[in-house]
Amino acid sequence: MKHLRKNRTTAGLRAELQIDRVPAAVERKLKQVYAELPMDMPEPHKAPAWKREEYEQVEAVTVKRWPWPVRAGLAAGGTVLAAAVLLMGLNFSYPQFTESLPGLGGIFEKVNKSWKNPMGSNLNTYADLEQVSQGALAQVDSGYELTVDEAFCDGENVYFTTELRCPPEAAQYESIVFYKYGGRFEMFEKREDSPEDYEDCQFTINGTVTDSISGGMTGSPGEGVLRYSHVMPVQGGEVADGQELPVTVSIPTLEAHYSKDSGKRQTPDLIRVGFETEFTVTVNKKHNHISVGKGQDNGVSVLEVESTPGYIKLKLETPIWGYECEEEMRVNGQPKGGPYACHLYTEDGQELGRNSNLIEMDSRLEVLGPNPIYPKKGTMINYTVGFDGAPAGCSQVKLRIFELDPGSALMAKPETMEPGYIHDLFAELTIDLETGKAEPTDTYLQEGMKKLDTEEYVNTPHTPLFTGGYLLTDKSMGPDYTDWDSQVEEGYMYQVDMYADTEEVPDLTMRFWLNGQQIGEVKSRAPEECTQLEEGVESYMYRQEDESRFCLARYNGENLQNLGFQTIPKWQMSFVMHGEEPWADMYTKPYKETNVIVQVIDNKTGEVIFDDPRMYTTWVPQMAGAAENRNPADAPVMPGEGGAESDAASSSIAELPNPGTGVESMP
Amino acid sequence: MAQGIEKLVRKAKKGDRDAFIALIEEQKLAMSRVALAILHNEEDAADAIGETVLTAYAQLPNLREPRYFKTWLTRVLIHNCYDLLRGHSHFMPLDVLPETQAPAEDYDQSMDVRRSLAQLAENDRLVLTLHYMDGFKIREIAGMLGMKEGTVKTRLMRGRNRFKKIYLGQEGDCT
Repeated sequence: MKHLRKNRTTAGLRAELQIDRVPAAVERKLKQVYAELPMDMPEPHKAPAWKREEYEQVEAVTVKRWPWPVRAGLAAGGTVLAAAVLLMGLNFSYPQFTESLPGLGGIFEKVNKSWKNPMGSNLNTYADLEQVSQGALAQVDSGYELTVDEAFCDGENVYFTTELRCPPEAAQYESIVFYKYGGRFEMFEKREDSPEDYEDCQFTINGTVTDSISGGMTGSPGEGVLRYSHVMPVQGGEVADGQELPVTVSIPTLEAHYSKDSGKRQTPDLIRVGFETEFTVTVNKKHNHISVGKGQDNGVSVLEVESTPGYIKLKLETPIWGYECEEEMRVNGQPKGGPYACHLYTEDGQELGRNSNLIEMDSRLEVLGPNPIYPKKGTMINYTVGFDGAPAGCSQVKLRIFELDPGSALMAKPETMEPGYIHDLFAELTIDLETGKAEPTDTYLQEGMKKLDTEEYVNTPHTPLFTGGYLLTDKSMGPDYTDWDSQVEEGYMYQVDMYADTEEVPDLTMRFWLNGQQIGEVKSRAPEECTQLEEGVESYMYRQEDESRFCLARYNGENLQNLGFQTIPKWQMSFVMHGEEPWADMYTKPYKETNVIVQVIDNKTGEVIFDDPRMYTTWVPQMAGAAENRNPADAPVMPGEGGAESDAASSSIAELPNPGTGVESMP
Repeated sequence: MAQGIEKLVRKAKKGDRDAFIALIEEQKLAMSRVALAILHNEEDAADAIGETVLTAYAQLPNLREPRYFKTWLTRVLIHNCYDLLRGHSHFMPLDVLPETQAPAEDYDQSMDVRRSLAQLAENDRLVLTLHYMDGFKIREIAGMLGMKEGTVKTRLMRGRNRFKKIYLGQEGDCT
């Protein structure tokens, strides 16, 4: 009967996931898009002729593209990371000299630097930033007031700030945004209290409706004032220096959100305000520069330099230095030294935030494809990486390409997030923003860094060794959420992932230990005892009797060969156990004081083949609020705040011995 | 069918605009399913799909393997949906995003299965749609979403079990 139940579940799922027809909105959009498609298909990307002969033939392999670890992390732990972004907020340790300039509101600096893809944070250091101070007319006497504060246009984008003054009753809200995309975050049906006649906000530049490509918000309704920054692309074709561009702002409705704890988070209030205003901004291109790059360091060439007060874009050619594979399953084979490892600094050491929206990848990497091509070590690739604009008077910037991104727990080894960790780099170039001239410099030496251009480094595989045919890659322990967004917990989950270089599916037992106590074990099984997950693919799942513990095994073939392992792993396995206890009961102390270890036993011989092996560990703390309520010392600490925990989802390489086959003493 | 798609992809790659449109027409229902699984709103799904079609048109000549067209297109679509959802081009701070599920107390188990699906974790729903509706293999889903295959399997299992409890549980068959 069990198979019938399973089939019925599948049928039920399919019935409910199905949609009967293409939605009318999609049909309309497709008609519109078809009409806009150029008659000629674009030409395939071709490398510059003078470089084409230097490219190596690359092969498609089934590994994951590199921007996705961040995206997957955001998707899986979106709320955690979103909270983290806001926690970081204005605590970033940027030099504050720009704030002291007289006569400027400094909203760009205050708002944009707190945002994850900053643009125009330093606009307030430019004397020709326009002070608009244009109050909006309001059709409704709501008690709210809107002012357009500052504006700038570099010919590519219009940057402007708005300030919303709130009445005392707004203190009940956590945040207020301009109502747009009404119902976008609704479920399948519109909310009853979301009537159709609430209009979206709308901005136009040069008479054409446009939308933000970057922006941010600071302040709170409780403080009585919220400040927003907006960056919108110039519309209507190329514009001339000195040209005046009309900008209109229409905000019929505000969307006011209650805090998470209020019980009304699901139903933000819609407040009619009817704000209408318009202003003009003068195109100012006198600070813009675009030049062909000249100069290289350790194989990195600067091909093009584009800068405006709002942003800097650098087109680079770099070699693939290999892949970061020690925690392959964690970072998905991220090429070392890619755009996410580029950092840019002003002459006085101010870091200009990287803007991931401005990154353009080499299309030969096919990063959008199903089988992204990961070039072999030594292959030259091109990409464009974008940063926040430099302050006025800054004519040179320093580019550093690190081995690993010093700023990302998801991209880098966890120990690199520790305060005081000294990063090594592949290249350092000082770039003249006006001429594009790039010269290798060695200021990194003063900071104790070293350049990884040695023969020894180049010849080292930088991949982990299999021990006895196994590679344990990562273990994770944390709350098992019903839903990551709402953080409704269903106990906890403890998972260990590994590779095996064996012909047959390994017959193993994984024992899970926490603080000296074995809290469960999961066994693999011979294929005939397992459920076949996919037809035609060796992929099995064996569930323990209570169904809360299971082992998944999948034959992996040769998909990982380009990552440079000395052996090709054949089986990818996950051992998972679910515990009913609330995570708060398990999360009794920070990771560093917690002993989370595993043992691996060969079921045939009974031998303990791994005892407390070294592997990547993810230890998910309580959500910030819950942790603070229990014990402030346990709350996650963000990078730059001086704490030891690296992220809202903290990760660490346990300081444990490398995998060995001998039995060692249990804690 | 798959060969038909590959043939269209080859024609489109050679510059046949009509073949490209035929490809999109072929995929539009599947695209709508995926976009709605993430965005839950038809207008937004339409925006994400429109963006995806434009990207696909521009990037198709660089697609090396025609047989991967559907996976590639879906991956671009997912990317665009999440960009939209995260407010990449929209002015909505991440921390103020309303929850994307109905609160548990509002859930009427016996009446509204749609809401029961809405109760599935965001990624579980997407993974279920990709696997059960669009026929993607676990390996492909892992590639599209940048997840470990084990994670995809875990989500499939968890989503399936959760659905089973909610949906079949009404008939007392939730074991």
